[in-house]
Amino acid sequence: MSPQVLLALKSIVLPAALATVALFLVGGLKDPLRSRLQALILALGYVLGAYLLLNRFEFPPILPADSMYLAALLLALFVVIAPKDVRSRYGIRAVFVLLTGGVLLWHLRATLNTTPNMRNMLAFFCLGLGVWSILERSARQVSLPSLIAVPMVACAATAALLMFTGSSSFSQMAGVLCGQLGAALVVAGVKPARMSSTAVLPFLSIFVILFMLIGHFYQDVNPWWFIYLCWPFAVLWIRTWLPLPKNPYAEAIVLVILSALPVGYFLSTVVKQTGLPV
Amino acid sequence: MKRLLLAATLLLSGAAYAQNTPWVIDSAHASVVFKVSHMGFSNIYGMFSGIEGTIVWDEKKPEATSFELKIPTASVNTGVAKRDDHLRNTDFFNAKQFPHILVKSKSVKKNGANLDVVADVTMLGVTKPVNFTFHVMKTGKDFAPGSNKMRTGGEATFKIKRSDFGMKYMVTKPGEPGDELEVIVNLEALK
Repeated sequence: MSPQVLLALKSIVLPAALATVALFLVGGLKDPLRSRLQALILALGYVLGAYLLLNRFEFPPILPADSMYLAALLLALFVVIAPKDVRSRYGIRAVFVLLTGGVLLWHLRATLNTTPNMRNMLAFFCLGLGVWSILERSARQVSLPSLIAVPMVACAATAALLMFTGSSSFSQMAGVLCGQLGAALVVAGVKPARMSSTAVLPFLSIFVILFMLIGHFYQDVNPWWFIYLCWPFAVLWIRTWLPLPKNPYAEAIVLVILSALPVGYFLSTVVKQTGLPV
Repeated sequence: MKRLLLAATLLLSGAAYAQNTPWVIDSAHASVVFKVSHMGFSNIYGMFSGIEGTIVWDEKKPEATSFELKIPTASVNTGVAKRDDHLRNTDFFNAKQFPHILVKSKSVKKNGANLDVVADVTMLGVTKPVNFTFHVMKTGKDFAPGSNKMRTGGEATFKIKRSDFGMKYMVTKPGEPGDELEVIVNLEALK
Protein backbone atom coordinates (compact mmCIF):
# COMPACT_ATOMS: atom_id res chain seq x y z
CA MET A 1 0.00 0.00 0.00
CA SER A 2 1.25 3.51 -0.84
CA PRO A 3 2.72 5.33 2.21
CA GLN A 4 0.40 8.33 1.60
CA VAL A 5 -2.71 6.09 1.67
CA LEU A 6 -1.39 4.34 4.78
CA LEU A 7 -0.77 7.72 6.46
CA ALA A 8 -4.29 8.92 5.55
CA LEU A 9 -5.81 5.71 6.94
CA LYS A 10 -3.77 6.02 10.13
CA SER A 11 -4.31 9.73 10.78
CA ILE A 12 -7.82 10.34 9.39
CA VAL A 13 -9.79 7.07 9.30
CA LEU A 14 -8.53 5.47 12.55
CA PRO A 15 -9.20 8.53 14.83
CA ALA A 16 -12.54 9.06 13.04
CA ALA A 17 -13.56 5.44 13.70
CA LEU A 18 -12.55 5.74 17.37
CA ALA A 19 -14.42 9.06 17.67
CA THR A 20 -17.56 7.52 16.11
CA VAL A 21 -17.65 4.77 18.73
CA ALA A 22 -16.89 7.17 21.60
CA LEU A 23 -19.46 9.75 20.45
CA PHE A 24 -22.09 7.04 20.13
CA LEU A 25 -21.40 5.65 23.60
CA VAL A 26 -21.35 9.07 25.28
CA GLY A 27 -24.47 10.11 23.31
CA GLY A 28 -26.68 8.24 25.80
CA LEU A 29 -25.78 10.62 28.64
CA LYS A 30 -27.76 13.74 29.56
CA ASP A 31 -26.76 17.30 28.68
CA PRO A 32 -24.66 19.24 29.58
CA LEU A 33 -22.33 16.31 30.37
CA ARG A 34 -23.01 14.75 26.96
CA SER A 35 -22.11 17.87 24.95
CA ARG A 36 -19.01 18.52 27.08
CA LEU A 37 -17.73 14.97 26.68
CA GLN A 38 -18.54 14.89 22.96
CA ALA A 39 -16.67 18.18 22.41
CA LEU A 40 -13.71 16.72 24.28
CA ILE A 41 -13.86 13.55 22.14
CA LEU A 42 -13.82 15.62 18.93
CA ALA A 43 -10.88 17.72 20.20
CA LEU A 44 -8.91 14.66 21.34
CA GLY A 45 -9.76 12.86 18.09
CA TYR A 46 -8.28 15.79 16.17
CA VAL A 47 -5.19 15.85 18.43
CA LEU A 48 -4.66 12.09 17.94
CA GLY A 49 -5.09 12.32 14.15
CA ALA A 50 -2.77 15.32 13.81
CA TYR A 51 -0.20 13.63 16.07
CA LEU A 52 -0.28 10.44 13.97
CA LEU A 53 0.07 12.60 10.87
CA LEU A 54 2.89 14.89 11.99
CA ASN A 55 4.57 12.75 14.64
CA ARG A 56 5.13 15.81 16.81
CA PHE A 57 3.59 17.36 19.90
CA GLU A 58 5.34 20.43 21.23
CA PHE A 59 4.26 22.47 24.22
CA PRO A 60 4.66 25.42 24.30
CA PRO A 61 3.89 25.43 20.56
CA ILE A 62 6.75 26.16 18.15
CA LEU A 63 4.96 25.76 14.82
CA PRO A 64 1.37 26.68 13.85
CA ALA A 65 0.64 22.94 13.62
CA ASP A 66 1.40 22.68 17.37
CA SER A 67 -0.92 25.62 18.04
CA MET A 68 -3.77 23.82 16.30
CA TYR A 69 -3.74 21.19 19.08
CA LEU A 70 -4.20 24.00 21.59
CA ALA A 71 -6.96 25.59 19.50
CA ALA A 72 -8.87 22.28 19.39
CA LEU A 73 -8.65 21.92 23.17
CA LEU A 74 -9.72 25.57 23.65
CA LEU A 75 -12.86 24.91 21.58
CA ALA A 76 -13.68 21.92 23.80
CA LEU A 77 -13.18 24.24 26.79
CA PHE A 78 -15.67 26.68 25.25
CA VAL A 79 -18.33 23.96 25.24
CA VAL A 80 -17.53 23.21 28.88
CA ILE A 81 -17.77 26.79 30.14
CA ALA A 82 -20.20 28.47 27.70
CA PRO A 83 -23.28 29.69 29.58
CA LYS A 84 -26.81 29.32 28.19
CA ASP A 85 -27.54 33.05 28.51
CA VAL A 86 -27.35 34.40 24.94
CA ARG A 87 -25.55 37.70 25.66
CA SER A 88 -22.73 36.13 27.70
CA ARG A 89 -22.51 33.35 25.13
CA TYR A 90 -21.90 35.92 22.35
CA GLY A 91 -19.25 37.66 24.47
CA ILE A 92 -17.44 34.44 25.38
CA ARG A 93 -17.64 33.31 21.76
CA ALA A 94 -15.85 36.51 20.70
CA VAL A 95 -13.19 35.90 23.36
CA PHE A 96 -12.62 32.35 22.07
CA VAL A 97 -12.40 33.52 18.45
CA LEU A 98 -9.74 36.02 19.58
CA LEU A 99 -7.94 33.43 21.73
CA THR A 100 -7.75 30.69 19.10
CA GLY A 101 -6.78 33.15 16.35
CA GLY A 102 -4.21 34.72 18.68
CA VAL A 103 -2.71 31.32 19.52
CA LEU A 104 -2.23 30.59 15.81
CA LEU A 105 -0.82 33.98 14.84
CA TRP A 106 1.40 34.32 17.93
CA HIS A 107 4.38 32.94 15.98
CA LEU A 108 4.09 35.74 13.41
CA ARG A 109 3.53 38.56 15.93
CA ALA A 110 6.70 40.40 14.88
CA THR A 111 5.44 40.79 11.31
CA LEU A 112 1.74 41.47 11.86
CA ASN A 113 1.86 45.19 12.60
CA THR A 114 1.05 46.34 9.07
CA THR A 115 -2.19 47.85 7.76
CA PRO A 116 -3.08 44.94 5.42
CA ASN A 117 -2.38 42.40 8.17
CA MET A 118 -4.45 44.33 10.73
CA ARG A 119 -7.30 44.68 8.22
CA ASN A 120 -7.19 40.97 7.35
CA MET A 121 -7.04 39.92 11.02
CA LEU A 122 -10.17 42.02 11.65
CA ALA A 123 -11.82 40.47 8.58
CA PHE A 124 -11.03 36.92 9.78
CA PHE A 125 -12.28 37.77 13.29
CA CYS A 126 -15.60 38.99 11.84
CA LEU A 127 -15.75 35.95 9.52
CA GLY A 128 -15.15 33.53 12.42
CA LEU A 129 -17.73 35.19 14.62
CA GLY A 130 -20.23 35.51 11.76
CA VAL A 131 -19.93 31.88 10.69
CA TRP A 132 -20.27 30.71 14.29
CA SER A 133 -23.42 32.85 14.70
CA ILE A 134 -24.94 31.48 11.47
CA LEU A 135 -24.36 27.92 12.67
CA GLU A 136 -25.74 28.54 16.17
CA ARG A 137 -28.87 30.03 14.61
CA SER A 138 -29.14 27.21 12.05
CA ALA A 139 -28.79 24.61 14.81
CA ARG A 140 -32.28 25.53 16.00
CA GLN A 141 -33.87 25.37 12.53
CA VAL A 142 -32.13 22.76 10.41
CA SER A 143 -31.74 18.98 10.82
CA LEU A 144 -28.54 17.80 12.52
CA PRO A 145 -27.22 15.87 9.46
CA SER A 146 -27.58 19.07 7.36
CA LEU A 147 -25.96 21.18 10.08
CA ILE A 148 -22.87 18.94 10.01
CA ALA A 149 -22.74 17.92 6.34
CA VAL A 150 -22.92 21.43 4.83
CA PRO A 151 -19.96 22.97 6.74
CA MET A 152 -18.03 19.74 5.97
CA VAL A 153 -18.10 20.88 2.33
CA ALA A 154 -16.29 24.09 3.38
CA CYS A 155 -13.82 22.02 5.44
CA ALA A 156 -13.09 19.59 2.58
CA ALA A 157 -12.77 22.50 0.13
CA THR A 158 -10.32 24.24 2.51
CA ALA A 159 -8.26 21.03 2.65
CA ALA A 160 -8.23 20.92 -1.17
CA LEU A 161 -7.33 24.60 -1.52
CA LEU A 162 -4.47 24.24 0.99
CA MET A 163 -3.16 21.29 -1.03
CA PHE A 164 -3.34 23.20 -4.33
CA THR A 165 -1.59 26.20 -2.79
CA GLY A 166 1.29 24.12 -1.49
CA SER A 167 0.72 23.15 2.14
CA SER A 168 0.20 19.41 2.16
CA SER A 169 0.54 19.02 5.92
CA PHE A 170 -2.17 21.62 6.67
CA SER A 171 -4.31 20.12 3.93
CA GLN A 172 -4.01 16.73 5.65
CA MET A 173 -4.72 18.31 9.06
CA ALA A 174 -7.93 19.79 7.61
CA GLY A 175 -8.56 16.21 6.41
CA VAL A 176 -8.20 15.02 10.02
CA LEU A 177 -10.86 17.58 11.02
CA CYS A 178 -13.08 16.33 8.18
CA GLY A 179 -12.67 12.82 9.62
CA GLN A 180 -13.84 14.00 13.05
CA LEU A 181 -16.79 15.87 11.55
CA GLY A 182 -17.54 12.72 9.55
CA ALA A 183 -17.68 10.78 12.82
CA ALA A 184 -20.21 13.28 14.18
CA LEU A 185 -22.19 13.03 10.92
CA VAL A 186 -22.36 9.22 11.13
CA VAL A 187 -23.71 9.38 14.70
CA ALA A 188 -26.15 12.18 13.73
CA GLY A 189 -27.26 10.20 10.67
CA VAL A 190 -27.76 6.87 12.46
CA LYS A 191 -29.19 8.17 15.73
CA PRO A 192 -29.61 11.99 15.78
CA ALA A 193 -30.65 11.96 19.46
CA ARG A 194 -27.17 10.66 20.37
CA MET A 195 -25.28 13.65 18.92
CA SER A 196 -25.17 17.06 20.57
CA SER A 197 -25.16 20.02 18.17
CA THR A 198 -23.60 22.18 20.92
CA ALA A 199 -20.55 19.90 20.99
CA VAL A 200 -19.89 19.97 17.28
CA LEU A 201 -20.70 23.64 16.50
CA PRO A 202 -17.30 25.21 17.34
CA PHE A 203 -15.52 22.56 15.25
CA LEU A 204 -17.86 23.12 12.30
CA SER A 205 -17.39 26.88 12.35
CA ILE A 206 -14.35 28.50 13.93
CA PHE A 207 -12.01 25.52 13.51
CA VAL A 208 -12.60 25.53 9.75
CA ILE A 209 -11.99 29.30 9.70
CA LEU A 210 -8.72 28.77 11.62
CA PHE A 211 -7.42 26.62 8.74
CA MET A 212 -8.32 29.48 6.40
CA LEU A 213 -6.46 31.88 8.73
CA ILE A 214 -3.34 29.71 8.50
CA GLY A 215 -3.71 29.51 4.73
CA HIS A 216 -3.71 33.27 4.43
CA PHE A 217 -1.16 34.32 7.04
CA TYR A 218 1.35 31.48 6.67
CA GLN A 219 0.88 30.49 3.02
CA ASP A 220 -0.04 33.89 1.54
CA VAL A 221 -3.20 32.46 -0.03
CA ASN A 222 -5.51 35.21 -1.31
CA PRO A 223 -8.06 35.80 1.53
CA TRP A 224 -10.86 36.21 -1.04
CA TRP A 225 -10.38 32.58 -2.05
CA PHE A 226 -11.33 31.56 1.48
CA ILE A 227 -14.33 33.90 1.44
CA TYR A 228 -15.58 31.96 -1.61
CA LEU A 229 -15.14 28.72 0.35
CA CYS A 230 -17.54 30.08 2.99
CA TRP A 231 -20.39 29.68 0.50
CA PRO A 232 -21.70 26.54 2.33
CA PHE A 233 -22.19 28.65 5.49
CA ALA A 234 -24.14 31.16 3.39
CA VAL A 235 -26.31 28.29 2.09
CA LEU A 236 -27.29 27.52 5.71
CA TRP A 237 -28.09 31.21 6.15
CA ILE A 238 -30.36 31.47 3.10
CA ARG A 239 -31.92 28.00 3.46
CA THR A 240 -35.27 29.48 4.66
CA TRP A 241 -35.79 31.03 1.21
CA LEU A 242 -35.27 27.66 -0.50
CA PRO A 243 -37.94 25.02 -1.14
CA LEU A 244 -36.30 22.16 0.74
CA PRO A 245 -37.63 18.62 1.25
CA LYS A 246 -39.03 17.84 4.70
CA ASN A 247 -37.06 14.58 5.09
CA PRO A 248 -33.84 15.44 7.03
CA TYR A 249 -31.61 13.20 4.87
CA ALA A 250 -33.06 14.57 1.61
CA GLU A 251 -32.67 18.11 2.99
CA ALA A 252 -29.00 17.40 3.81
CA ILE A 253 -28.35 15.99 0.33
CA VAL A 254 -29.95 19.00 -1.42
CA LEU A 255 -28.05 21.50 0.76
CA VAL A 256 -24.74 19.65 0.24
CA ILE A 257 -25.23 19.69 -3.54
CA LEU A 258 -26.12 23.41 -3.44
CA SER A 259 -22.96 24.04 -1.39
CA ALA A 260 -20.58 21.79 -3.26
CA LEU A 261 -21.34 22.77 -6.87
CA PRO A 262 -20.12 26.43 -6.78
CA VAL A 263 -17.24 25.53 -4.44
CA GLY A 264 -16.17 22.66 -6.74
CA TYR A 265 -16.30 24.97 -9.76
CA PHE A 266 -14.21 27.57 -7.90
CA LEU A 267 -11.61 24.93 -6.93
CA SER A 268 -11.38 23.77 -10.54
CA THR A 269 -10.53 27.37 -11.56
CA VAL A 270 -7.87 27.47 -8.84
CA VAL A 271 -6.30 24.23 -10.13
CA LYS A 272 -6.22 25.71 -13.65
CA GLN A 273 -4.47 28.77 -12.23
CA THR A 274 -1.99 27.15 -9.84
CA GLY A 275 -1.54 23.66 -11.31
CA LEU A 276 -1.24 20.55 -9.21
CA PRO A 277 1.36 20.37 -6.40
CA VAL A 278 4.91 19.33 -7.38
CA MET B 1 57.62 62.96 24.33
CA LYS B 2 53.86 63.28 24.82
CA ARG B 3 53.34 63.20 21.04
CA LEU B 4 55.51 60.08 20.75
CA LEU B 5 53.49 58.32 23.44
CA LEU B 6 50.22 59.31 21.78
CA ALA B 7 51.45 58.02 18.40
CA ALA B 8 52.59 54.73 19.98
CA THR B 9 49.24 54.31 21.73
CA LEU B 10 47.36 54.95 18.49
CA LEU B 11 49.55 52.49 16.57
CA LEU B 12 49.15 49.78 19.20
CA SER B 13 45.38 50.22 19.41
CA GLY B 14 45.24 50.09 15.60
CA ALA B 15 47.14 46.79 15.63
CA ALA B 16 44.81 45.42 18.29
CA TYR B 17 41.83 46.56 16.23
CA ALA B 18 43.21 44.82 13.13
CA GLN B 19 43.73 41.64 15.17
CA ASN B 20 40.13 41.60 16.50
CA THR B 21 38.35 42.97 13.46
CA PRO B 22 35.88 40.31 12.42
CA TRP B 23 35.88 38.90 8.94
CA VAL B 24 32.60 39.77 7.24
CA ILE B 25 31.00 37.15 5.00
CA ASP B 26 31.05 38.13 1.34
CA SER B 27 27.43 37.25 0.46
CA ALA B 28 28.21 37.27 -3.27
CA HIS B 29 30.69 34.43 -2.74
CA ALA B 30 28.90 32.39 -0.10
CA SER B 31 26.34 29.66 -0.57
CA VAL B 32 24.86 26.70 1.23
CA VAL B 33 24.13 23.76 -1.02
CA PHE B 34 22.09 20.75 0.08
CA LYS B 35 21.41 17.34 -1.36
CA VAL B 36 18.36 15.35 -0.30
CA SER B 37 16.96 12.07 -1.54
CA HIS B 38 13.65 12.27 -3.38
CA MET B 39 12.02 9.22 -1.78
CA GLY B 40 14.99 7.11 -2.79
CA PHE B 41 14.41 7.57 -6.55
CA SER B 42 17.05 10.26 -7.08
CA ASN B 43 18.57 13.27 -5.34
CA ILE B 44 17.39 16.87 -5.36
CA TYR B 45 19.97 19.65 -5.07
CA GLY B 46 19.11 23.03 -3.65
CA MET B 47 20.91 26.18 -2.63
CA PHE B 48 20.55 29.07 -0.19
CA SER B 49 22.09 32.43 -1.02
CA GLY B 50 22.35 35.88 0.58
CA ILE B 51 24.25 34.46 3.56
CA GLU B 52 25.34 37.01 6.16
CA GLY B 53 27.64 36.70 9.13
CA THR B 54 30.95 37.34 10.76
CA ILE B 55 34.02 35.31 11.68
CA VAL B 56 36.42 36.26 14.44
CA TRP B 57 39.56 34.38 13.50
CA ASP B 58 42.97 34.60 15.04
CA GLU B 59 45.54 32.64 13.02
CA LYS B 60 47.85 32.45 16.02
CA LYS B 61 45.08 31.24 18.31
CA PRO B 62 42.66 29.15 16.20
CA GLU B 63 40.87 27.87 19.33
CA ALA B 64 39.63 31.41 19.94
CA THR B 65 37.90 31.43 16.56
CA SER B 66 34.17 32.04 16.54
CA PHE B 67 31.61 32.67 13.83
CA GLU B 68 27.93 33.25 13.24
CA LEU B 69 26.07 32.70 9.98
CA LYS B 70 22.53 33.76 9.01
CA ILE B 71 21.07 31.81 6.10
CA PRO B 72 17.85 33.32 4.67
CA THR B 73 15.30 30.51 4.32
CA ALA B 74 13.33 32.40 1.65
CA SER B 75 16.37 32.21 -0.65
CA VAL B 76 15.98 28.44 -1.14
CA ASN B 77 16.34 27.55 -4.80
CA THR B 78 16.06 24.09 -6.34
CA GLY B 79 15.44 25.34 -9.86
CA VAL B 80 11.67 24.68 -9.80
CA ALA B 81 9.69 27.75 -8.66
CA LYS B 82 6.64 25.78 -7.46
CA ARG B 83 8.78 23.39 -5.44
CA ASP B 84 10.68 26.35 -3.95
CA ASP B 85 7.36 27.92 -2.86
CA HIS B 86 6.50 24.60 -1.20
CA LEU B 87 9.90 24.47 0.52
CA ARG B 88 9.33 28.02 1.87
CA ASN B 89 5.97 27.18 3.43
CA THR B 90 5.00 25.49 6.69
CA ASP B 91 5.66 21.94 5.42
CA PHE B 92 9.38 22.65 5.28
CA PHE B 93 11.38 25.80 6.15
CA ASN B 94 8.38 27.95 7.27
CA ALA B 95 10.16 31.07 6.00
CA LYS B 96 7.54 33.50 7.30
CA GLN B 97 7.95 32.37 10.88
CA PHE B 98 11.64 31.46 10.68
CA PRO B 99 13.29 33.82 8.18
CA HIS B 100 16.80 32.52 8.98
CA ILE B 101 18.71 29.33 9.72
CA LEU B 102 21.43 30.20 12.22
CA VAL B 103 24.83 28.53 12.51
CA LYS B 104 26.87 29.56 15.56
CA SER B 105 30.24 28.13 16.54
CA LYS B 106 30.67 26.37 19.87
CA SER B 107 34.27 25.21 19.60
CA VAL B 108 37.02 25.35 16.98
CA LYS B 109 40.22 23.28 16.97
CA LYS B 110 43.10 23.42 14.52
CA ASN B 111 43.57 20.23 12.49
CA GLY B 112 46.55 20.75 10.20
CA ALA B 113 45.52 23.34 7.65
CA ASN B 114 41.86 22.81 8.50
CA LEU B 115 39.59 23.58 11.44
CA ASP B 116 37.53 21.02 13.35
CA VAL B 117 34.32 22.79 14.31
CA VAL B 118 31.41 22.08 16.61
CA ALA B 119 28.56 24.48 15.84
CA ASP B 120 24.94 24.95 16.89
CA VAL B 121 22.50 24.90 13.99
CA THR B 122 19.13 26.53 14.73
CA MET B 123 16.36 25.70 12.29
CA LEU B 124 12.58 25.94 12.88
CA GLY B 125 13.29 27.10 16.43
CA VAL B 126 15.21 23.93 17.31
CA THR B 127 18.95 24.02 18.07
CA LYS B 128 21.17 20.98 17.49
CA PRO B 129 24.97 20.64 17.50
CA VAL B 130 26.80 19.53 14.34
CA ASN B 131 30.44 18.58 13.82
CA PHE B 132 32.37 19.33 10.64
CA THR B 133 35.81 20.08 9.31
CA PHE B 134 36.22 23.45 7.65
CA HIS B 135 38.79 23.29 4.86
CA VAL B 136 40.49 26.66 4.63
CA MET B 137 41.25 26.94 0.93
CA LYS B 138 43.08 30.24 0.60
CA THR B 139 43.80 33.43 2.52
CA GLY B 140 45.37 36.39 0.77
CA LYS B 141 45.00 39.91 -0.48
CA ASP B 142 41.59 40.68 -1.98
CA PHE B 143 41.60 40.50 -5.77
CA ALA B 144 39.29 43.49 -6.31
CA PRO B 145 41.14 46.45 -7.85
CA GLY B 146 41.88 49.13 -5.27
CA SER B 147 40.83 46.96 -2.35
CA ASN B 148 43.08 46.97 0.72
CA LYS B 149 41.20 44.12 2.31
CA MET B 150 42.21 40.54 2.98
CA ARG B 151 40.09 37.68 1.65
CA THR B 152 39.76 34.17 3.04
CA GLY B 153 37.57 31.26 2.07
CA GLY B 154 36.85 27.60 2.40
CA GLU B 155 34.29 24.86 2.49
CA ALA B 156 32.70 22.42 4.93
CA THR B 157 30.48 19.40 4.42
CA PHE B 158 28.22 17.80 7.00
CA LYS B 159 25.00 15.84 7.34
CA ILE B 160 21.88 16.64 9.33
CA LYS B 161 18.53 14.93 9.79
CA ARG B 162 15.69 17.35 9.16
CA SER B 163 13.39 15.37 11.48
CA ASP B 164 15.76 16.33 14.34
CA PHE B 165 14.65 19.94 13.77
CA GLY B 166 10.95 19.09 13.69
CA MET B 167 10.75 19.18 9.87
CA LYS B 168 8.85 15.92 9.65
CA TYR B 169 6.73 16.41 6.55
CA MET B 170 7.08 13.32 4.33
CA VAL B 171 9.29 11.63 6.92
CA THR B 172 7.14 8.83 8.28
CA LYS B 173 10.10 7.17 9.97
CA PRO B 174 13.30 9.02 10.93
CA GLY B 175 16.21 7.83 8.81
CA GLU B 176 14.07 7.12 5.73
CA PRO B 177 15.22 8.53 2.39
CA GLY B 178 14.52 12.24 2.40
CA ASP B 179 15.24 12.72 6.09
CA GLU B 180 19.01 13.15 5.81
CA LEU B 181 20.43 16.23 4.13
CA GLU B 182 24.01 16.51 2.96
CA VAL B 183 25.00 20.15 3.39
CA ILE B 184 27.95 21.98 1.81
CA VAL B 185 28.74 25.37 3.28
CA ASN B 186 30.97 27.35 0.98
CA LEU B 187 32.00 30.86 1.93
CA GLU B 188 34.43 33.70 1.55
CA ALA B 189 34.97 36.53 4.02
CA LEU B 190 36.66 39.91 3.90
CA LYS B 191 38.55 41.93 6.50
